[in-house]
Amino acid sequence: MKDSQKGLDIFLALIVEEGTLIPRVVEEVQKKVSEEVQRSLGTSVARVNIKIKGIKFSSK
Amino acid sequence: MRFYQKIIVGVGFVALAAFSLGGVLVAVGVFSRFVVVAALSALEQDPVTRLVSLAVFLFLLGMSIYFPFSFRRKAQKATVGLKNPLGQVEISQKAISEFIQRIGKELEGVEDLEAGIKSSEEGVDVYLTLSAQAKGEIPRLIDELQTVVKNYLTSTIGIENVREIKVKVAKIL
Repeated sequence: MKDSQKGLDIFLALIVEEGTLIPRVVEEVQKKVSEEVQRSLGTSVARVNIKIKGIKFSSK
Repeated sequence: MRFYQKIIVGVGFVALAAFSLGGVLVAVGVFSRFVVVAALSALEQDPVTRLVSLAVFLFLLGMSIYFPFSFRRKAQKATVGLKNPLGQVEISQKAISEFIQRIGKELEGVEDLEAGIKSSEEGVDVYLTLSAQAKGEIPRLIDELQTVVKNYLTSTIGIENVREIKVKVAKIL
């Protein structure tokens, strides 16, 4: 996490499940994290940066 | 790898080969070990030789420390950026490659598949190495594979600028 003039920059690393629509999940995570941080801490969030580290496959 | 890195690696490998060859020749008895000792002792003879040899050995030492870390950094950084208004989004190339391998192998006629990714400002290039079953029609299979991979990359991963999907048929089984 980094504090800038515009607010907090948050950095997340995710592993998503196979079949997940990554753009949709990423947007949901960004919105959720941003809202929760603003609500809980009262600090504005500038950016929620995400790195997808891997895709978890279901064992068949 | 950049040009200067190729030069440094080349010099390093030549030095390594020379040391190894010296070791092998001494081990098999072609040279006496005293030849090596004499060669190393010669480095101490005058200050200029000493200084030059010190620079060469320091360079080799520095290279042996720097390169493993630089490759590790590069491997960690290998990502593809996705467009997103709420922040920076990156996805690891390794994850995408594994994903492509997985979906590609589900196609009938694909025996094995290896995938590589190259990402630049112009777009994303995908390199596939395919082992195909002989009973299938290879051109149709390649076409199908390219379509499936492109669709998945665009819809599931969210990469909009897939530029090329190159397929190399390595084996027909």
